[in-house]
Amino acid sequence: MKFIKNNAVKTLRLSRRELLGGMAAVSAAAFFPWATRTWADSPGATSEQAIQDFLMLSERLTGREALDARIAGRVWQALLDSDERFADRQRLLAQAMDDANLIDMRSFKAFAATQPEALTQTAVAIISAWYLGFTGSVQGHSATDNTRFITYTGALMFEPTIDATVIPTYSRGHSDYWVDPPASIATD
Amino acid sequence: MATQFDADVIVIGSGALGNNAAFELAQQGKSVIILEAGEHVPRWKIVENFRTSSRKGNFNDPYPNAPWAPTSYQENYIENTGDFDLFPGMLKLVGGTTWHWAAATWRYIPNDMKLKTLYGVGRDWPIEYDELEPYYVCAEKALGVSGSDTDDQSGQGGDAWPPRSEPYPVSPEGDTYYFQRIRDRISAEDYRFIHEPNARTHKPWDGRPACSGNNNCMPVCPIGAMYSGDVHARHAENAGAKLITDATAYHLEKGDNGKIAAVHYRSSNGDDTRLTAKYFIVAAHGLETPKLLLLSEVANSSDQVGRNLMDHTGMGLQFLADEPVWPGRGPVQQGGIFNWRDGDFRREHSAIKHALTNMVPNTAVTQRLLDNLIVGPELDDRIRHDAARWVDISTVFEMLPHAHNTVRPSTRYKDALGIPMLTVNYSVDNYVKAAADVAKRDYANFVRIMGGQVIEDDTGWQNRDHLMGTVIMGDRAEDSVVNGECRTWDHDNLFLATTGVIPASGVINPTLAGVALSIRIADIIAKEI
Amino acid sequence: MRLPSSWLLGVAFMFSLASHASGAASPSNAANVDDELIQQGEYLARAADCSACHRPPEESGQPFAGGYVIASPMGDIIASNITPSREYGIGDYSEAQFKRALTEGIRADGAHLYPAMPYTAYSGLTDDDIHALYSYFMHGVEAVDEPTPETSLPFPFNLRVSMAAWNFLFLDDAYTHDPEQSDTLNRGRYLVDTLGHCSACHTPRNALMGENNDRYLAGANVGGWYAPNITSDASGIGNWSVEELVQYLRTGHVENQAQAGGGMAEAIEHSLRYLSDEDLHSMAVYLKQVPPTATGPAIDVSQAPREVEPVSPATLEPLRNDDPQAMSDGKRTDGQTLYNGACASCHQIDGQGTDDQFYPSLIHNTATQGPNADNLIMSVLQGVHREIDDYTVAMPAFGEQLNDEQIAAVSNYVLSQFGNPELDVDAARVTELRQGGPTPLLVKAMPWLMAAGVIFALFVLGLIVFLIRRKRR
Repeated sequence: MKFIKNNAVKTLRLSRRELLGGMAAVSAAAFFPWATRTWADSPGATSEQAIQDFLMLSERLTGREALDARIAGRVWQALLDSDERFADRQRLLAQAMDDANLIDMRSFKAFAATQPEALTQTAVAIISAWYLGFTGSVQGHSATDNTRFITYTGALMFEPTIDATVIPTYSRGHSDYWVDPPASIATD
Repeated sequence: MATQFDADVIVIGSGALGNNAAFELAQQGKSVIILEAGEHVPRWKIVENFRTSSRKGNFNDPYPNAPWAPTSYQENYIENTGDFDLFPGMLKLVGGTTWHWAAATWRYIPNDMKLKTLYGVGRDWPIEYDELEPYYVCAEKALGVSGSDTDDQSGQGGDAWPPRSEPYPVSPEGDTYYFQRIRDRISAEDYRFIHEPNARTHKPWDGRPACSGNNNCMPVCPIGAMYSGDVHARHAENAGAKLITDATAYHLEKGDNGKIAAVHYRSSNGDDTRLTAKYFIVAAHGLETPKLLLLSEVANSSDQVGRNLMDHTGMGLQFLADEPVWPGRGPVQQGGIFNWRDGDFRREHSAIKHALTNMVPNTAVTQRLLDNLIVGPELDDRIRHDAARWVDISTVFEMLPHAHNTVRPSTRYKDALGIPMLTVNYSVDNYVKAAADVAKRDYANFVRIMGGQVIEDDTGWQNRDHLMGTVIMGDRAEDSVVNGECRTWDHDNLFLATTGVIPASGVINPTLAGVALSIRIADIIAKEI
Repeated sequence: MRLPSSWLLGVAFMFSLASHASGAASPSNAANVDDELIQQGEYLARAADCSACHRPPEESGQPFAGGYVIASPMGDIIASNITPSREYGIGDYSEAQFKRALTEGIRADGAHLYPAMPYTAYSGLTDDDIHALYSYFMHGVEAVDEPTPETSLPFPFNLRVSMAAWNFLFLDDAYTHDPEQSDTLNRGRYLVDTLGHCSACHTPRNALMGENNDRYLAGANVGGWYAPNITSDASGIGNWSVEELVQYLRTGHVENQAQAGGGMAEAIEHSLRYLSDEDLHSMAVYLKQVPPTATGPAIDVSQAPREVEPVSPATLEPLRNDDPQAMSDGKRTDGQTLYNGACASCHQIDGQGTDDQFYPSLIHNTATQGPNADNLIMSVLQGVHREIDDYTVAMPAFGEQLNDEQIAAVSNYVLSQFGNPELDVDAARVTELRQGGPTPLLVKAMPWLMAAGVIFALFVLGLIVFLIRRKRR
């Protein structure tokens, strides 16, 4: 390697700790959000049943048959962290869907019209996380926001177009393939 | 008595501009040190950081944002005091911010450089197009630019323009179906579409593979087909230059005879180092370069350092076309509509460029549908339907240099190294506002011709991250920071390699001009050492 | 600066055919040389791949001007100028001198060429073909009046005269037409053995760097790359059809089978793609009947049995640690992480490549299913570059982005997930290949041989002194 590493490298860890220590009186997180931004990938064992319920609810809401259980754990945890009453809302939503016998999601709008706004929002928040692969709102020009990562290649929004475009960063084929439209163009 | 120097030339900043200058100098046998505030990060790691990012629309997010080397989106890094919040994406790592550009590599046209003479507004460049042309050729080869040798890039429908002494290194890539359809329909009403020269060539170049449409130029090309400044960091090192990372320059020390004697840099552990050289090139970005000069109280006898800040402040249009055009196949942009690039109207309002954006639109499409409570099977159907018809146009305006548009060292906020962050005061003038009315009339036409349903046609002003004017170039020491060589008037061994020298912004992405000027700086210095 | 590999890189001594200005008879410059003959010579020069070595250092330079630096185990070899320049090229060669250089490895001034100039293969050239080649080089190639640096190998490899002894051992009887065989087979053998000198890479070398004829075309190491077994055994090309071989020789790419990298890519780019369909067919037919030499289990990548387990997105995309140091950490040695960051954008998460196979499958692929992982490692280290008629293949080199441990890790991930799981790559092997492959025994042993030589010389000297003294007594 040709990089000249000055002696910063050896002492970097120590000095950063000092840096943080000096600011400990204030909340370190306020200055260094990166220091606290990681979160648990898998919730505790006590949550297993809740996640199982959540997985089934997610499959109903998205019309998918086999969603990834570990991704379900991520969504559940992210929504729970953003709203401490999420577990209740999830239960209420499932109950309301059962009561209204909502099986075909084509009837969701009619269902939503009869439900409290918060309940609809809970449903959309769950669907949104699975489709977009993140929760929260992106702040374009800030190093921090309230978003949580869920999945990228697993985001359901890519499924409907996977034969035509790409999941960005992954290639479709040789250069200039894009000169032609997708094979489906006549029926799109 | 011979003086000992640490290097012939010290280059501050390892972005595309600094590294190209460093490489040229090293290749000509000069000893060169490059200082970089950030670290070296391999591409695969940035790709992983991107894929696991929760904010993919935030182009700084896949890159390290350290308290000792903050990116531009770090809280308080830029404090805005003007009408407009200027937040350019800017990175600190080896290779600099060209890690997340889209590699648009236009040349200025001769008229862009004579704005004052021809149209009575703004400023002229102190050099003519002909002086820059040979260096444009060098820059295009260094970056591997693919472009059309027949387009009239001034947008006037004439012969090939601007003049070229050599053809483009690589032919243009094929037009995307998206570009073809929109061009074919909209150009029927005399809107002129021009292919965008770019450094993400569809043929291999300089160890880089061919672009195969991974559609992720911003925030990182996953396969390295697109040029980024790390290419010339590697070339410069292989040619003998020394690259020092974790080294934030914070002070330029004045010496005898109006020369700069040394640069002082600080590392993340707080250690300070002083390095001397015969020549210094500050290539530290359009905002950080004036900051370093102001902090050091150098090069500012004209009081123009940090003034005349220009971005190509823009706006946008999104609509659904009446036919599937399928954006998201191929590179993220390919060109656009150039009718308003040049003409007598520039006396009255700014030049305008409408660029077609070709990014996979699924996130925006899906969010919009969910906002309308569309779920279930209909959601999947509509995602496909709308994603196939999504048209996104990104417009930029030509700014004029104004002394009141400024960037200054912050008096309130400092980074972890104790170095002041930035305060920006920026507003958009009537010259641009008049052009916005023209652009909106165009928008109405585009939507009508494409049978479109508007998603958004009133975005307000948007950042375009093309920073110019902050260390402005001119032919008089009284009202400019550098001369036509990019040499500071006040210190004959201090050069500035940044798009911040550009005095008339035009509407084209300025990086290629910056690289051309940087290679020219290297040639000038090499002759003097 | 790292040099591009040559397909002869590392095989053996490279030759230096620098012509010294001499008073030798000047060639005929008659203007009425038959155009057809020159074209024939040009085709033969393509088939013999003269430009693989005798090229200028930069791509834009003049053909056959030489100057290209080739790293060999014995030291750097400078390719010579073989344009008809009288001062710096071969302009003063008579046809007889030209023939002697090609077929006996002796240049006009009488000095021996190093046998990396494949004169052991070219010795079989027919007189008609030599005439056509001579006509081409004298009249169809533009003279470049620029010198190339002299090759100077370290002692003792700089002793060209030692090649006389080497030739005695290894300059075999040349190709002759076999009337018992079909024209196709005869032509194929001539193209493979004489013009194409395929054995220069595909036949392993013995301790003295001569080709080991017992293992003719059975595979060998070449500058880090593995030139595979191309005998008709199932561990060679036994499972390839003639059509597949022809396609491979023309393009270097057979879908779900193999892609040419390294020297083979260069051979295709500079030589094989220019050959006629008939000639490529002849080569394929000949190769299909080369007596089999087994080098391991049968290779049949078209039926590679592997079912790739889908990876959960949760594994693929772990939650990110936003600490700036973690975000910068490029030294991870987890193969799956490296594969997904560096390889999957093209070869895809499941290793299947793109639908159009422009980015090839890593499952149906000899580079991952073969008897060793060298070509996989070399592809990662140096990338792949292959220009063919329709497009240019370019896999970027990862040698600067990934260290040896990382390349071993990512290779092992590819092998375990998609390729031959029996193979295991360690970082030491990557280090060795990064440096150009295993050092030949002759070079490794040379310090010892030289030490032994010195001791032997001292012994002889002592003996002489002893004898003289005794005689005087």
